[in-house]
Amino acid sequence: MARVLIIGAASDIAQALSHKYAGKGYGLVLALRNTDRLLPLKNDLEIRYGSEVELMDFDAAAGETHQQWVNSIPDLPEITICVMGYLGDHEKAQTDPDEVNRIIVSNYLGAISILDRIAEEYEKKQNGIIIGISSVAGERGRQSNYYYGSAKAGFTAYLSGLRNRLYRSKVHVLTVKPGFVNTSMTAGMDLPPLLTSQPDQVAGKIFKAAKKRKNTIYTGNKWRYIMFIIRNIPETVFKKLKL
Amino acid sequence: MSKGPSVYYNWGKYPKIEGKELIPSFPDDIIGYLSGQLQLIARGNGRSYGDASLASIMVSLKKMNHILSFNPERSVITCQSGILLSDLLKFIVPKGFFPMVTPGTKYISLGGAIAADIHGKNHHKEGSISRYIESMDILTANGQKITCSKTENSPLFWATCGGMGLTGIILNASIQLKKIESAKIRTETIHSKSLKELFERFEKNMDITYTVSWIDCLTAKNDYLRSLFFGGEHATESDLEGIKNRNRYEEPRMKNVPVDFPSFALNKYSVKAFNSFYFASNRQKPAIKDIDPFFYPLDSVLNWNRIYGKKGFIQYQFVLPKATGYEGMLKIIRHIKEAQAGSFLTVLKLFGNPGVTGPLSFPMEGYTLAIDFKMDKQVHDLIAKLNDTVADYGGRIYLAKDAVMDQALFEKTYPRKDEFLQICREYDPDNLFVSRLSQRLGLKK
Repeated sequence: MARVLIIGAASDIAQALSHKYAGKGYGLVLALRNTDRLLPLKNDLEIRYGSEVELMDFDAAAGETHQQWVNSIPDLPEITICVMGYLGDHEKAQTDPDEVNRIIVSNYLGAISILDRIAEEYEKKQNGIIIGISSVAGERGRQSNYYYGSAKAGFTAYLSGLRNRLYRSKVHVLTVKPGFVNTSMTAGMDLPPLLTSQPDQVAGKIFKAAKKRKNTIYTGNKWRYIMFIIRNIPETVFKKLKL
Repeated sequence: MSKGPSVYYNWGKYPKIEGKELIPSFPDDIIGYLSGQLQLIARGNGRSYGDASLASIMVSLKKMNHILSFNPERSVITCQSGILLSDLLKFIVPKGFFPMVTPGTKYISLGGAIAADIHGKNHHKEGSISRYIESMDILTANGQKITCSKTENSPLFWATCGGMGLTGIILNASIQLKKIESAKIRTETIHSKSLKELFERFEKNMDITYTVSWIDCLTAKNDYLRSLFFGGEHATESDLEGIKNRNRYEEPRMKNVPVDFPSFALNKYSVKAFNSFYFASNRQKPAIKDIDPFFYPLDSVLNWNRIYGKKGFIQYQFVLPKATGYEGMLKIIRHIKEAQAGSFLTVLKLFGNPGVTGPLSFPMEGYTLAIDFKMDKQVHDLIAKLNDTVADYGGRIYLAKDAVMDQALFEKTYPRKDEFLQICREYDPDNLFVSRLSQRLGLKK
């Protein structure tokens, strides 16, 4: 059975991806803290799709354990999806270095640490797909979430560089930039319905894009054009906006 | 972009309230909400018609929708309460199973189905859903998870079946399923010309598993009342000679009502026209149908509730006991005909003896009628008249559909409410679980 490793498996997008891949006949290795939380999902996927689901404890922040952690996976799945992310409290972060750290580790440092280890293995095998969930927030820093935005900007650049390095080894890297998605991360926010995707829609797009070996996708498509505009607003204008 | 309270409403779009919906990702998250001393109610898919799952704070179980275990030998499945029946059907039908009881829509949550003690077209033969719940886990006000069944913590079990979420939050339940030989239904359709004829039809056909009728109140005159009686059975192998794909669960193509219709769209003329068309197009002959058109005819029209316009509608469903059912039903149909209240969805079913039930459970042995009324100025007077008749004849109103019943009528028609309150006092002494429904009925404030 072909398998997928999902890192940060507790999130809504990750759970939707689990359903999608399990439904397509893949086995799953789900990595998260507090694995008990996903026992109902594991049961569901095994019963519904006959999938084989393994839950593994994973600590994004403990970079020094990541090599050992990867080694401990007996049959490393061919596809790795990194769904790690933490929106954080932007206002709090402005005065609290610990909150800044959490945002940066969860969205950037922790993500690249584990993906580096996976990349090495895939490079050796000359085979694999790495999917990184970044965000449109990384396209331009704005006043309401630039810690999250800058971390995601870093992650996007990392994925781009990784894609470049791994091309020679026939390993593909897909960058996913979701716009607004209806998840627990955005639960407190008033999102415009026409621009907001559902987790299962995002998962469907990712599945298709990975199969087609796309480089970068936006979910939904509209965001590609929205971000084009956002990116090209002159800074003299942008700095006056309240986005 | 922070979110304030939003407007919430259920399927009838009346009433509409301002409230906040919390959507926990995992069951453990729910416990945190209970210590806040803020009153709340659990919410499934919002398919009750009135204000049953409306409150200032609602806890949505929609992410708690997993299948936990499945035992095909015993025909038992255990699921979290947020799972929708539509989702469950996709899994169990291809495997040769069907719920013992299904209501007229598949877009309800398992928790909602239990909280309303739902019935279907087979109540006369197979009862309501509570009969088939093996056990369930309830999260009570003090954060404790209690397993209850007919033999364990049974007062809590019975109070929760039909208890409209007021005893606690249903986390998961194990339910018994029935085995089916195919995904098709063998149906027959019979026209009748009077209520007497229709009642006889029901009584004579009690051995048919699924029976339901659609009646046309608007053209009723003296003794004349036209109706369509539908009978159905799960089609067996022998019924299906030559029929292909007999085990494939066919889902119909969805149509959508994209916007609210203007309020004049649904009136006695358009309804009469619809009724004539509907009556004519349902010929009297046996047929093989798919599951959805037989059990969930309206589900294929997404947002069909928009047909009633922005102001929404009242769905009025009551039951009358067998002894007085015929007389009472005649009187009610007369009231409706006089008011020329526009409703094309008028469904009449037979209920059997339910046996042991929860204190707030709706079905009783007799006849039940469900009818939609557009929300307008006259509807309250009409409902007051109908309520008087229902109460006079010893019947009651279905809480899962009710939006307007007052405390006096509720207390008159639900004699076991004190028994229910006693159990609430034990498991929810501080009235944590409260809804607009419970406040309106003076049940829990």
